[in-house]
Amino acid sequence: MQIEESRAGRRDHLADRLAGAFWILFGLAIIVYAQGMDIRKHLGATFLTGPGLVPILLGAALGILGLVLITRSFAGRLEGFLQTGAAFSDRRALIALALMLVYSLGLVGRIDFGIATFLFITSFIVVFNLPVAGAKAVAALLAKAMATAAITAVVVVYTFHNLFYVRLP
Amino acid sequence: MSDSFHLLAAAFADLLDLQSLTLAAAACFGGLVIGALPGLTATMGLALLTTMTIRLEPNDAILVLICTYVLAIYGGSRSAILLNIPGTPSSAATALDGHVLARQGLAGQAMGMATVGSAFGTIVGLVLLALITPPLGEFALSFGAYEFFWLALFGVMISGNLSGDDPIKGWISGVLGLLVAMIGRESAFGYERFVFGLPELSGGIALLPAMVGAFGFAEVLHVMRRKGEGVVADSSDRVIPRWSDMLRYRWVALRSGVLGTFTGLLPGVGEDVGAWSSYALAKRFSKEPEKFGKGSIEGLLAAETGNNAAVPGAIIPVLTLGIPGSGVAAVLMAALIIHGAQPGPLLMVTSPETVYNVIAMLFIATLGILILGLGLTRIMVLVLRVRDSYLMPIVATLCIVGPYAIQSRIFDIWVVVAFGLIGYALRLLNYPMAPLVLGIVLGELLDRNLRRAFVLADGDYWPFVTRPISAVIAIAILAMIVVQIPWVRRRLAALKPAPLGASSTDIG
Repeated sequence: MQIEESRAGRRDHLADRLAGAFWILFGLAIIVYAQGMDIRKHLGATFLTGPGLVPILLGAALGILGLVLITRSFAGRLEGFLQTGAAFSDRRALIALALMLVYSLGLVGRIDFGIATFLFITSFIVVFNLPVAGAKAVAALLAKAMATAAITAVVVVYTFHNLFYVRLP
Repeated sequence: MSDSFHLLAAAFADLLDLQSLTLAAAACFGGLVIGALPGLTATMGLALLTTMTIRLEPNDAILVLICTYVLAIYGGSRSAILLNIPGTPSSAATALDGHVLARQGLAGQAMGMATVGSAFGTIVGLVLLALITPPLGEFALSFGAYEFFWLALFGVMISGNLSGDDPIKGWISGVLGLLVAMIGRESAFGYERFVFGLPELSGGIALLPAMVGAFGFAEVLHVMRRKGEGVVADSSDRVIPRWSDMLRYRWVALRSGVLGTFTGLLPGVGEDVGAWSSYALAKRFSKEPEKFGKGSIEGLLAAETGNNAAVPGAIIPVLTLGIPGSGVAAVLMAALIIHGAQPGPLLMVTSPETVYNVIAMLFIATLGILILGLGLTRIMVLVLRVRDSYLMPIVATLCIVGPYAIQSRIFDIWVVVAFGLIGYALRLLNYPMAPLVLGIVLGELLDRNLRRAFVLADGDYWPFVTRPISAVIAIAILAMIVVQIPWVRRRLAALKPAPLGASSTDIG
């Protein structure tokens, strides 16, 4: 148990260090980019009133906070971290993400919105319930998934298209 | 004073028609369901509903949103008690005692006390809102660019400080939100920042698609990451609380209501801190502190009164300063702006009726808590049995279609997806979302007022710290930074009594 905790601690410190380094680089990139913003001196602006001031300050703040994150992780301090363990599954999250990306970036706007929604909801329900449903229950699961998807698609399309007068993608 | 009563009476009269009451009833039920279901937070629900109420009359749309907001914060107590999973983060304190009571066969009693506490907290909050808003609005009229700059910074920083476990990560989240607000054409010279040649970015990142992404899309992924579902506790005992119990805990409720409201009033702090601070105060003053965490009715009542009192509290700075008191209030503020209101110091001058309309709507929402809370126990148990794998794809669909419906732009769907991915990654690394949202909301205010202040002061730094209100806020910000220094933290920890042993995670 203790070994597992120390492993998790090491991984979390590493994540903080990597994130800290990323924030420093990101902050620096923002400062460099914002320094190139036109101050509009011909309109009476100065560095303090120009468009780049706040982005530069924010870039600097991000860099300093990133540095604090790294320093703190080397000092061994950890302020709570991601929930891991048996109760969580990254695989489930990745499957959900893949389905949502296919729906939002792949299907929506390319095929009819109602059909895209029907396909997405049906596949989402089937994919997550298939492992727990027995072989005999597959037909029932498919029927339930398709019914849920059809009802949702019809209600969403009717509400947005007919009641809100939105041209769906 | 008579003007106030006149405006309040007019506000109630406006709401007493069949359409408004039907919408309020539907919104109350919807809010209760949103709050009760662990996968749906109040912020996500309100952001989605804002997109869906865009075609309603402004008053009806705001009524729907306020009823949903209040009932969603209350509804979180249902799953906290019955499942030991807070429906919204603001119900995390409720779960400590509520679920223990449910395991003892007292779920009905726990839900009854949570209902009464939530309704009482909202009433205390709305009374304080009615009393505080007019003078605070008048006081805020004296604020200049310096004060608004500090207030915006204070809002983002205190939100980062209190809405997660780690203030440094909270502040990083806030800075990221402020940076997102820098995208697009700035107001002073019309200069386009961080647009990278994309015309869609010149108008900036719209708040609602960003919020739906960070709270909706990301939440779906977070919920699906969770394995298994909770077991609903039995709730067949008495739900309506006894008078003797209510009288016994009247001071706990009053104290929690006042503290919750004032906690909610702090920019960016929110309902979960309202619950935790009320819980901690109740424990400190309790004759039975040892029962807290082991099924204390007093603790449950304090948490539920505190989080719901924070709702009107969080609306006060929206109406008077144009600065939201919580992430959910930030969405409400965006909705108010979409529907033509201009939250801020001038609101009491230009349209004081808005403030009284909000008070009347909060009162109707309170009735919703009592009627639905005490009447729908069995139905809510059924709602809690809905499986995530059936609910989440429907939520994901609404996350895509809702923001698209506002301007019919495919680009807004990309924003939802991008913020969903960023939000999910940040959540995994324990970065809270509330400061990010506050940053997006307050970024323009901060940028505009800092630069305006430099114009007014002709480049002089001193007015930022020599004007009295500015100085007070600047000292508060400095204090927030100083207490993060390890040496100072060690010294402060040595002075403090033993910690309560619990903290909030994020805002709903």
